[in-house]
Amino acid sequence: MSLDFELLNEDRTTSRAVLLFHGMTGSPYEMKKYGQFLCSLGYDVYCDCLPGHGDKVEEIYTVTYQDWLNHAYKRFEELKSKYDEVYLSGLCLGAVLAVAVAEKYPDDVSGIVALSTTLFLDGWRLPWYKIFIPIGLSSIIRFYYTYPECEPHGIKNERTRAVVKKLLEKSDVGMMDFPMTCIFELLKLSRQVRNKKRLSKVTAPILFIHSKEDDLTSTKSAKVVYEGISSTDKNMIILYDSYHMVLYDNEKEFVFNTVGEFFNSHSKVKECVPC
Amino acid sequence: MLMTIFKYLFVINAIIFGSMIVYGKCFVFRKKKPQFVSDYCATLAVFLGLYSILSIILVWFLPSTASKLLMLAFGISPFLIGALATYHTEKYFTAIQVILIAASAGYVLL
Repeated sequence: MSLDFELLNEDRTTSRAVLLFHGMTGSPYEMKKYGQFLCSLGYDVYCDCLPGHGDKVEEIYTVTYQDWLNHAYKRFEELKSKYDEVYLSGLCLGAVLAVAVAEKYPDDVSGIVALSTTLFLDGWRLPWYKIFIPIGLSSIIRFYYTYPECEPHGIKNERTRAVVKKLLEKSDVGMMDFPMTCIFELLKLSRQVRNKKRLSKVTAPILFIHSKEDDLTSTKSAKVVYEGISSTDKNMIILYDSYHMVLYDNEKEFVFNTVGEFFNSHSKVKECVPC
Repeated sequence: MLMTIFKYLFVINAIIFGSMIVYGKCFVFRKKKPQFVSDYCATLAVFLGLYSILSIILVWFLPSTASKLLMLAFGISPFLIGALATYHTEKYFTAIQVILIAASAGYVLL
């Protein structure tokens, strides 16, 4: 069963779209409510399973960051050929991919919303032996190790956390652990994206939303991108009552509304069509 | 005296490191709980780090250039293997790693 989704305005043709990228070991399911919200504002919304995720979960062990990039580039090019405005938004790895696309297509991206950008794995949830991650990654150990998905699952709100935990255990909307090979590829992607020369190519309007208490990645990730890009229209919002999964946590409504305001304020196309 | 200490430290570490890889492949990585595997791999990384550090230390004590180079090669072998191995070839490279660890321990003892 495909987890990809497309939310299209069927009553009228809209000329603006949002391309969403989900997080590492996640799936488009985690972006669904967010996508539905954006669609209600009059955008066509697209979100696919990244290579190595979703139905073909065994590919997570062999997928490379280049596969993710090629998928993102291809999808963006397809949408750009159909829409006047294409916005990008992503969570975690998805945010990094959104920035990567903006680096490659600086004149074509209408705006970016980067949620919980993950360039570094330095959150408070990581275990005591995180200092040995470089040794593990560069040796054969990376094929043996998977980092188990564990409390607090990126969510501060306990009720929501319990629901998400049950969902993860019972269905295939996300993985229960992070293979080290996948983390390896994320960090390689991170090295490429945060290259100063590449970052300076980003000129699109950009909004960063990152939690101060993010359990997986500190605000350093967002700050590195914020300071490296050439965009004059850039804004960083720090949340104080959420963890990594900002689309589900205590401040989710604030996140949704802020993103909606950002897209609408930057859109040159004025349309209000309910999905 | 110092060389002897480092020699035996290296051999003991190599035995533990090699044994942990073998035990891990046979029993731990497939059958144990993810948290246990996670902690096991972290411990493995510690012994790997020690293996490389002790190799480099021993380089200083060895007499000939050839033996120094060989010891250095042993020390960086885990990272070289890490760079070469893929998901599909991991089993073969694990075997090569274990053989190299055993060879290095034997070489140091002799």
